[in-house]
Parts: sequence; C-alpha cells; structure tokens
Amino acid sequence: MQSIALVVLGAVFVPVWHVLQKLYVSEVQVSSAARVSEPLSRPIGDLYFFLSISFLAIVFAVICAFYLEEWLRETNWVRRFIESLVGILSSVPSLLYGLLAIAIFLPYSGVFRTIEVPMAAENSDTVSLKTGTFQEDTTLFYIAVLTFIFLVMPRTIKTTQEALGAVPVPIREAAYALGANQWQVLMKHVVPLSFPRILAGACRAMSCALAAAALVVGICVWSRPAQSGQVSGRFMLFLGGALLLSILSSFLAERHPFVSTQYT
Amino acid sequence: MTAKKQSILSVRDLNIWYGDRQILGALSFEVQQKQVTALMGPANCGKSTLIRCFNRLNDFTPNFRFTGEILFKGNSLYAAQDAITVRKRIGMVFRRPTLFRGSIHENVAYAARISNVSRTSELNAIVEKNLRRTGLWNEVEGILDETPAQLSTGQRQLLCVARALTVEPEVLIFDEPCGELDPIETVKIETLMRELTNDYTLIFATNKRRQAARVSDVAGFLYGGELIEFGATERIFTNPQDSRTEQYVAGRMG
Repeated sequence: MQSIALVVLGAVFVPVWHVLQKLYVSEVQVSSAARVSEPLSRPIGDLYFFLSISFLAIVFAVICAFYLEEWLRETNWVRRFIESLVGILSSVPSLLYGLLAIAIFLPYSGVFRTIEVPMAAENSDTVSLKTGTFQEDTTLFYIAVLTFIFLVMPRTIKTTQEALGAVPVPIREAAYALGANQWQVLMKHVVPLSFPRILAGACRAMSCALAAAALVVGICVWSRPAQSGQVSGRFMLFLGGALLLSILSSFLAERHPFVSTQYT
Repeated sequence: MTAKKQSILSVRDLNIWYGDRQILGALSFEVQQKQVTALMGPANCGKSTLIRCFNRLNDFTPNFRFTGEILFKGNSLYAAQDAITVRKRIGMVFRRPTLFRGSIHENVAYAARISNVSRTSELNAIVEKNLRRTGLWNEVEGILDETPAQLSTGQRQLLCVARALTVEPEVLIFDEPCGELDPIETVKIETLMRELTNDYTLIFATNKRRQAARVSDVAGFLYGGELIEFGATERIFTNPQDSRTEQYVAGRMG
C-alpha cells in the first residue's frame, strides 16, 4: 500500500516539478536583467539553505529530547523548565512565526530601504528576507535562522519526547533485566522502535516551517501591485515542499512498530 | 530440602518508600540456595516492589528510596556492585512475556550478543542449550529464524525463561510468571521451576496461594507492606502462626 501511494505521489510530483521549473525560468528571465550577478537558482538556493538549517535544528532538537527524556528525571527542574518552554513555543501557530518575523525584524533589517532603491524592485519575494539578502545583511541572516530554529526545534523536541515515551516500559525492563546497559537499550530498542515517529515529527515540523515561509512569500508577492496575480516560483516550491513533507509525515506516523507487534 | 542449605540473599530491615508513601516496612528474611522461595500475598501488597529490588529494576522508578540492606552472598547489592553486574547474576522473568523484535534465535541469543559473543557456532550452542533446558527446543527447532508471533503465550513465557537463563544467573526471579497463562501452560512453567532448582535459586512472587504451595520450599506471606510470616511452605500451610496467614491460607482473605 505504501509503495503504491509513494509511486502515485511521485507521478503527481513530476508534472508539478515541471510547472515549477517553467515558472522559475520565466521569473529568472524577468529578473535576470536586473540581477546579472546572481543569475540562477535562487529558489533552489533558498531550499538548500532551508534544508540545511532545519536539518541542523532537527538534529540538535532530537539530541536535546533524548537527553531530557532518557537522562533527566521527570522531577528535574531543568527538564520541567525546558518542557514548559517547548510547550508554549510549539503551540504557537506557524503562520504567527512568519508574521512576527516580519513585524519585529523588518524595521531593523533595512529591507525597506533596499526596496525603495529602483534596482531592488525586482527583489519581490521577502524570502530574500530569509536568504536573498543575507549576503548583504548579516543580521537579517541571523534573524531568519533564529526564526527557523524557534519554529522547528520545539515541535521536534515535543514529538521526539512523545515517541520516546511511547516505547513500552516492559521492553526496556526486559532488556535491562538481561544485563544491558543504557546505551545498548537505547540503540537496540528505543531508537529502532521510536525512529518512524521521530522522523514523522521532524517532517511535520519542517512542513510547518515551509508553510510559514510560503505564506510570508505569498503575502509579500501579492501585496505588491507590480506582481499581483503572478504566482511566485518560490511560493510554489515552498508550498509543494510543505505538502510533500506533511504527506510523508502522515505515512511515517502510520507505522507504529510497537503497536503492531502482537507479542509485546 | 533436607540438606543443609546456604543463604544466598539476605534482606535486613528493609523499608521502601515511593516519595512519602511507605510501601514495605521492616522486612528481614533469608533466601536459601537452590530452593524456591515464594512471596505470596494479595494484589498491591508490595510483592513486585520487593522482588524488583533484588535485581535493581527499581533504580528506574522515580521517588524510590529505601533503608536497610540487601546482601547477595555477603555483599551489599546496592553499595558494593554496579547494577549491570547485579542483573547478570540475578535474572528475572516478568508477568507478561515480553519478547524483542526479531527472530526466536535473536531473542534467546540477545544477552550473549550484548556481552560481545559474536561467533555463530557459540551463539547457536547457547540458544540450543537454553531452549533444551526449558523443554522448548523440540517445538521451535524448525522455526528458530522466524518471529515469535506464532507461539502461544505459554511458549513465549518459556522462551522468556530460556532468554533469562542465557546470562547464567545464580538467582532467577519470577514475577507472577503464570499470571496470563492457562492451566496447562501453568503446569509446564511450574514443572520447569521445580527442575530449575537443581541449578538455580528461585524467588517467586504470586498471588495464588495454591501455586505457592505446589512450587515453593519456603514461603512468605506479605500483607499490607509487612512480612507477616516467613518459613517452610509446609509449616506455613499446615500450621500458620499468625491469624492473618491462617485466613489467607484457608482462602478467607485475599
């Protein structure tokens, strides 16, 4: 079933990808006159940037969640503090993050000034807020990174902790009773059993971040009269990525290895 | 049973709390070598808490604390040895047969693998020896590489016993091993337990008094966090000293 669904998904994705590429080419043609120095692959560059940052954030968040769940006791104040923080941050809607990033950080970033310069007028997508201009403005770069980290990390920590908590206690106890140490229990039982859920949670967090980015891009594109009615390639790319990741996460979440094993 | 037995585990003035709630109070008794010691009592009387102290599984319970001493061959279980060594010398079989993912062979060879035995011939020998000891070998010989999903609950419990035996423990703890089994499977486990006393010391928690009477050499009656009575099974069942034990044994309580 899963493989069929994946094939269907791939079949849908290929034409979408073609459309994206066409859109993207047209956009480059429009903008290339103004931006000769950076000719190609800005959306792709954005995506790379996005993926690498969220990958780092996810790895860090997973390590953090393992530490909280496996090494600190529930009564530990550090754990309680971080958990409440994570609870607050992960319940903030992802759209709010994008809007907050614009509202709080844009005045400091000097993007308004660049936009007023005629040459930067083509610089339509605000994801330049996230990547395009970061070469020019380091504070902006840090802001974008911080926004992403604040969006992705709490969600990943939360879902990872839930996944680890869902590993049945009897399995851990049976392994410990056979003289396994904590690392062996982690590597042989906890990680394999919780891995699909951790991955699903990470995908969902990334999907949220992508959707937020897509929304911000969309708002900024459509609010500009010169570009209204035109769909940005970057917007489509982010939206497509968000959709793909959320579908992937739902697939992964379906696979509960410990619920389906009838002999636990 | 008539031969002079040596004490292997001794509990001295053990008190256990979870947070502020006292679970067990002032327990003292000795477990003799190569005998079955039964700890019986109604549900919620602290049997599991007590036997989980012997292989230090309570270390993971938050708020667990205790006073008193548990000596294993004269050395303190908690102060003198690390938990992993203790668990390799004092094995445990749980109420629910919990098997790991993977084949029957992998399940039985688990303990050997994590102690860095990697040669196939050695692993095979360990698996065969322990499956034979539990009498499961003939039933699973052909399906060693398949998952235990097709085994019955009783067979899974026997597999768990075989797995626990692979660490070559000196003491084996059974926490209500027949709690989820039907009568025929229960008989199998009980017979196996009697056979195992040739090589091992068994500690056995149960809430079925008849089972304790059938299997054990020495029995203790736990009630409300206290060890009411402890002594030879025959004496406990025929001539109980305490009125509560008498009521329990006669089936009027618990």
